Amino acid sequence: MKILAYIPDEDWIEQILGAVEDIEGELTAFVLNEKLAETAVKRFDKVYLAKIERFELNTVREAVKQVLKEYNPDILLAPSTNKGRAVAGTFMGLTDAAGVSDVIRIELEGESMVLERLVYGGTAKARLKMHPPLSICISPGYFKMENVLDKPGEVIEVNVSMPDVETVFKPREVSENDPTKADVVVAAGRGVKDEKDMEMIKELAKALGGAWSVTRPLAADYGWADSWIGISGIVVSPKIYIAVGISGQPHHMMGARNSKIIISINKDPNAPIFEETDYGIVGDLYKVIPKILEKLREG
Amino acid sequence: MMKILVPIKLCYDVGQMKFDSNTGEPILDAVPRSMGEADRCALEEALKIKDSIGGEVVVVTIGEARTHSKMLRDAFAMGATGGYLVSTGDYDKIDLNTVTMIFKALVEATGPYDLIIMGAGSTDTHSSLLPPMLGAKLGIKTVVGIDKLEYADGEITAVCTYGDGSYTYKLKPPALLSVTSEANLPRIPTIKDILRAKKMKFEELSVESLVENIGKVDVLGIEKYIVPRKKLIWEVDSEDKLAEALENILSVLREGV
Ligand SMILES: Cc1cc2nc3c(=O)[nH]c(=O)nc-3n(C[C@H](O)[C@H](O)[C@H](O)COP(=O)(O)OP(=O)(O)OC[C@H]3O[C@@H](n4cnc5c(N)ncnc54)[C@H](O)[C@@H]3O)c2cc1C
Repeated sequence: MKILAYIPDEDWIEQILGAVEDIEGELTAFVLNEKLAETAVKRFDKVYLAKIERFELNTVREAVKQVLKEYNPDILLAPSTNKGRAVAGTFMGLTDAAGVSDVIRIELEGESMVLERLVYGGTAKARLKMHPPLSICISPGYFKMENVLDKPGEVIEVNVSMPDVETVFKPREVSENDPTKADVVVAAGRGVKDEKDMEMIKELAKALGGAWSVTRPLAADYGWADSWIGISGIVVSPKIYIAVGISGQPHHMMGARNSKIIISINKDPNAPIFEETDYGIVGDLYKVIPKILEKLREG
Repeated sequence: MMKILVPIKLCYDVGQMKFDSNTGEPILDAVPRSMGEADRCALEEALKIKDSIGGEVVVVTIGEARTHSKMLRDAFAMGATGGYLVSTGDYDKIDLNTVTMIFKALVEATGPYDLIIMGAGSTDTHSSLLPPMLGAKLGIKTVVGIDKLEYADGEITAVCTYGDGSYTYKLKPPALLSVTSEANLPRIPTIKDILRAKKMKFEELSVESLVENIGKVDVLGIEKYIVPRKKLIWEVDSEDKLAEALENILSVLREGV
C-alpha cells in the first residue's frame, strides 16, 4: 500500500507511524517546513516538502495537488486535529477518497480496512469497513510506534504558489504548562468557584510535577485559561488525570478519557464523572485539595 | 447584497445518549435532536452579514420532512430567508463524498453564492471533514475552524485557533467558511419570529435529482465506548473516611510520579 502521512509537527511522527506499523507498504510524509522534513526523512521512504511557513489551507490545497500529480496514495493519514482534518478533507475533496476521523484502531482485512472511530461526542465507538483510497485521521494518544526504523529517505520539494489569502500568525505563548505533554494533569471544573482558587489547582499540579487545565466554561466563559480539555479543545492522555469539581459531560471526557488513571473529586455522588473514575472522592474540593497538598508537602 | 448558503445538520444531543444495557448499542430514538451547535453559530454569522448589508440567507439540510422540517423552521425563525430539504430516508448512512456531491450540485443548481458558511464540525460526529472537502470540490477559497468572523467593506477577517497558535486570515468572497461553536451566541427567536416562520416554506428536492450515485457508510457495529475503570469511590462523610481515601489516592499519586 502507498501511504501518505501529513505530519504537522515532530510529536506526531511516532503516533502516525504507530498507526500503520502493521501495514506493509511505502511510507511517504507530507510536511510544511524544512526542519520537520529533515527529521521526518529519517523515518519515511520519501518526504514531500511544501515550504508554507504559516498554515493557510488554500496554499496547502495547491501543494497537495502538486503532490497528487506525482504520488497517488491508497491511504492518507493525518491527526484528528484542526489542521489534520483540514488537510485530510482537502485530500478527500480533491480525490474522491472516502474518509473518517477520530480513529482509535486500524485493522487490515484483505483489501479493505476495519476502522474503529469515536462517535456521538466520544460516548460510542463505531466499527466501519472501508476501502482504499481512504483518508484516516487518528485520535491523539491511541497509537505509538513500537519499533523505530531508520529509513534512508529522500526529500522532494513541492512548488508552492503565492497565497492570495493574507495570513497573520501569532504563535501560542510558550508556557511551561503543557497538559498535552505532562504525565499528570490536574483539571478544574465549575466546582472551583473563584479565579483565585485556581492557585490551589496550579499548586497541586506543580507539587505533582504535572500540568493544569480546565473545562470549557472556565476558559471560554470566565477566561481563567487560554485552552480547555475536550472535544472542542485539547486532548490529553496523561498517566494520571485528576478531575476537580468536574461533572464529566461527554464533550469534556472526549479529551480526557484516554488517560491511564482517572482520579476525581466531586461533591455530587451522582456526577457522571464517577462512572469513568478509578479513584474518586465524594466530597468538597475545598476540603480535599488542601489536605492533599498538606500531605504532599509532608512528603 | 449577499447570497449566503448555510448547510445545517440535525444532530443528536450527545449529552443525553442512551445505550441498551445488554448490547451496548445506542438507542437513538430516545435521544433528542436539533440543529448542530456550530451550524447554529454559522447561521448566526450569515444573519449578521445579512442584517448589516442585506441579502439572502439560504439553509439546506439532507433528511426527511418528518424529522427535519422543525429544524428548518427553527432556521427560518432565526432569520433564514429560504431553505432546501434534500430528501432521503437514509440520511444517517450517506457517506461524506455523497454529502459533498449533494451540496456541490445544489450550489451549482441554486447559486452562485457569495459565501457558504457552515459549522466546523457536527455536534454528534464532529469529523470536521466536510467543509475542507466541499471547498476543495468547489475550488473556492476556504477557511476552516473560525472562532471569530468579521465582514466589513467587502473583506472577511477570520481568526482561527490551531494547535500552534492563532491565525488571522483576510480574504474576499466568494469563499467557504467553517465556524466553531465559540464564534458567537446565536440569537434566540421571539414568539413573533416563530409564528412568522410557521408560514414559510422550504423547497424539497430529491437526492436523485442532485447526484447519481449514493454511497453509504458500511457500519459493522456501534456500541458504547467504555474504558474500564476501577471505580473505587470514597464517600467521605467523616474525617476517618477522608483520611482513608487520601491515603489511597496519595499512594497512587506517589506511584505515578
Ligand atoms: C458543542 C459543544 C462543545 C463542547 N466542548 C467542550 C469541551 O471541549 N470541553 C469541555 O470541558 N466542555 C465542553 N462543552 C461543555 C460541556 O458540555 C459541559 O457543559 C462542561 O464540560 C461542564 O463543565 P464542568 O464540569 O466544569 O461544569 P459542571 O457541569 O457545572 O460541573 C461542575 C461540577 O462541580 C461539582 N462541584 C461543585 N462544587 C463543588 C465543590 N465544592 N467540591 C467538589 N465538587 C463540586 C458539581 O457537583 C458538578 O458536578 C461543550 C459543549 C457543547 C455544546
